[in-house]
Amino acid sequence: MHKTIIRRLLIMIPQLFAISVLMFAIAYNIPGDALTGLTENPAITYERIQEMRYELGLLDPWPMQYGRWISGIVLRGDFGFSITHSRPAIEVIGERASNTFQLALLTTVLTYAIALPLGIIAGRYNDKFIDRVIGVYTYLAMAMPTIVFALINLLIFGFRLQWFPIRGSVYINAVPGTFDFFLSRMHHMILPAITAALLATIGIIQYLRGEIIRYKSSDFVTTARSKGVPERKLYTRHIFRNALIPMASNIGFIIVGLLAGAIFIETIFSFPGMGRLFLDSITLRDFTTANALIMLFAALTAIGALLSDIILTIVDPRIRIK
Amino acid sequence: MQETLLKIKNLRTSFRIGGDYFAAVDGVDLDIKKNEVFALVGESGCGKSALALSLTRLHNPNFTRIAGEVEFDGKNLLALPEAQLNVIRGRHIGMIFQDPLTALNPLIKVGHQIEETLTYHTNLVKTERKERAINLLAEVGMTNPALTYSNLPHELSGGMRQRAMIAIALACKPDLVIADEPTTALDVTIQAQILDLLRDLQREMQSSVILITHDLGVVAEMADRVAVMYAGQIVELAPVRDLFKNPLHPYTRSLLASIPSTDEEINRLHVIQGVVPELRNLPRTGCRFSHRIPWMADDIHEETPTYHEVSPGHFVLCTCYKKFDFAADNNS
Ligand SMILES: Nc1ncnc2c1ncn2[C@@H]1O[C@H](COP(=O)(O)OP(=O)(O)O)[C@@H](O)[C@H]1O
Ligand SMILES: [Mg+2]
Repeated sequence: MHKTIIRRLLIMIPQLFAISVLMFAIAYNIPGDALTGLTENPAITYERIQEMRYELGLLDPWPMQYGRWISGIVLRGDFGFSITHSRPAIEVIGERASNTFQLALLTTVLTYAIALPLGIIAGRYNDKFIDRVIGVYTYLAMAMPTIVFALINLLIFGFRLQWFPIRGSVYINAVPGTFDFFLSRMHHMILPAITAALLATIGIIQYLRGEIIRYKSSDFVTTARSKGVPERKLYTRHIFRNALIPMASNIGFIIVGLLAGAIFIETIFSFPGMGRLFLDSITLRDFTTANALIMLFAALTAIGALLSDIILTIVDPRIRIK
Repeated sequence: MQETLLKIKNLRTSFRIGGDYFAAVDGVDLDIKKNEVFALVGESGCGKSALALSLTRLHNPNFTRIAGEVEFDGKNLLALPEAQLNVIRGRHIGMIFQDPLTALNPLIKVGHQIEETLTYHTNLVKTERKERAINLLAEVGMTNPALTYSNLPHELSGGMRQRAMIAIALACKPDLVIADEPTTALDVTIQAQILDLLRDLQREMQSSVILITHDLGVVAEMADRVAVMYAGQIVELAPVRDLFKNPLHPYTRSLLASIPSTDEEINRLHVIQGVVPELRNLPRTGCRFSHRIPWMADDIHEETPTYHEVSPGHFVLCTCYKKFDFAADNNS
């Protein structure tokens, strides 16, 4: 088990390396850099800006810039200096990362809290009235683009009813560490989290429902029935357990999906997380921060997949033994 | 004459295909005696499993209709409320299935799956159940029953899994064991061992066995009586010795000819070609076997086939057996 994890982590190194080269090359070829914004300032001459570019190494060929950047990461854990923010990129990201992770965590919890019961009920009572109702929900949710659904929620619950704040991650004057701070944080996160969760449940509900229906007529359930096991126990002891295993192992992928979706959700709800930071960085040509974010996302995606496999080994006894 | 244990009356099991129901078991009458091994043979698709699962209503009721009667212990199992049926399932009637890998829950220890039968039918406490499960594993021939108890199904070989399945079915010493092709999924070398085990346990427990198979060799070795099934109907029913000495129905004779023997060339000429038709294409009137022997004249069949008792306990469906001849068969 430990060996497998270490091996999987080692495989990630060349993967991340390849991604880093690719996206550095892409960023280099996008017109503009962090100083482009200065050209609109009449007080600074073009010559002065070129001088600054030269000093910062922005005029060097990209392999040279890449070499400086990657060796900084590998040797010193230094992801570069964000000219736009006048701070190391890692510091800029750090603040936002914790916001995004908290939002992703809350969304994951909500997703499973909604999807598991609904999936189980739909599968248990398939083609009955309650299953049809859940079917309508998944159908609507599937047809709904994230942006539209998010905007509707923002409009109704944020602007109209004013139940939830419409921007930010916490009230400005809340004191970190206090219970009020926690409450305010939750208050800010609940609308974006619910929005993302309701959409993320579809796949889980449909998959779980299908698995339960499939297991109902599986051989081992027929065996259990032939032993005189009562209907209710067929579900709790035989069907649900088998159907839930792939769910547990999906958590890693769900989290990765949420991080990817963070760009939309955070932008619409003006939530200061990594997703919005990424968009802002691209707009401002702050490639140092953007590159660091991509590396982080890439690493998280690989770790999410690994996490799924680890969870699967824990919950599935067939794999546990090996 | 032995006492009857289970009486099947005009059993008709239909599956929903598209919007309509089609009978896979079409009017079966059978008596299973106490303490006998009753074999049910027929090609794959002729309705053996459909029949076996109907007896204790193991089919999904959403897609299946079962009509007729299954009389057991003075009750009609087909009309019994689920709760009362659950008293009989596992306690009085045990089931063994074809593929022991899919028939066992992959996530539950073999020992616990045996205990489950005991949980619902005995008052044994946990420790007693465990002891009984380990004893059962020893009885079905596990060399290390305590170890096997904690194994998951995938950790056992195919033969061991089927032994575990037998232990589950026999945990409460049922009056009737229904074994649906219990050796079909196993290696040839293991098949004989499993059949020996089944027979030994049957004798020891004095229970009846319905042994479903497509292998007449198995029938010859194991069974007291045999029913030959074709397209949802019993076409011949006889004590085993009579059936092998004097097979009558063309289908039975074809099945017998397909048993490998030293004189294979001649036998192959006597195997009727073709397969059991799909449920939807099944002829529902006249002799269902007639289209497999098209070289025979139509008038040898009865319009509405009936059973003919040719010797005590030996029945055959339709009159076509009287004139039937392989000689004209030029299909092969
Ligand atoms: N659940 C089902 N739904 C529809 N058709 C079925 C179902 N189960 C069996 N059948 C059909 O019923 C016929 C008999 O099947 P089965 O009893 O499994 O045959 P056997 O066990 O003799 O091989 C076959 O034509 C098969 O395709
Ligand atoms: Mg079968």
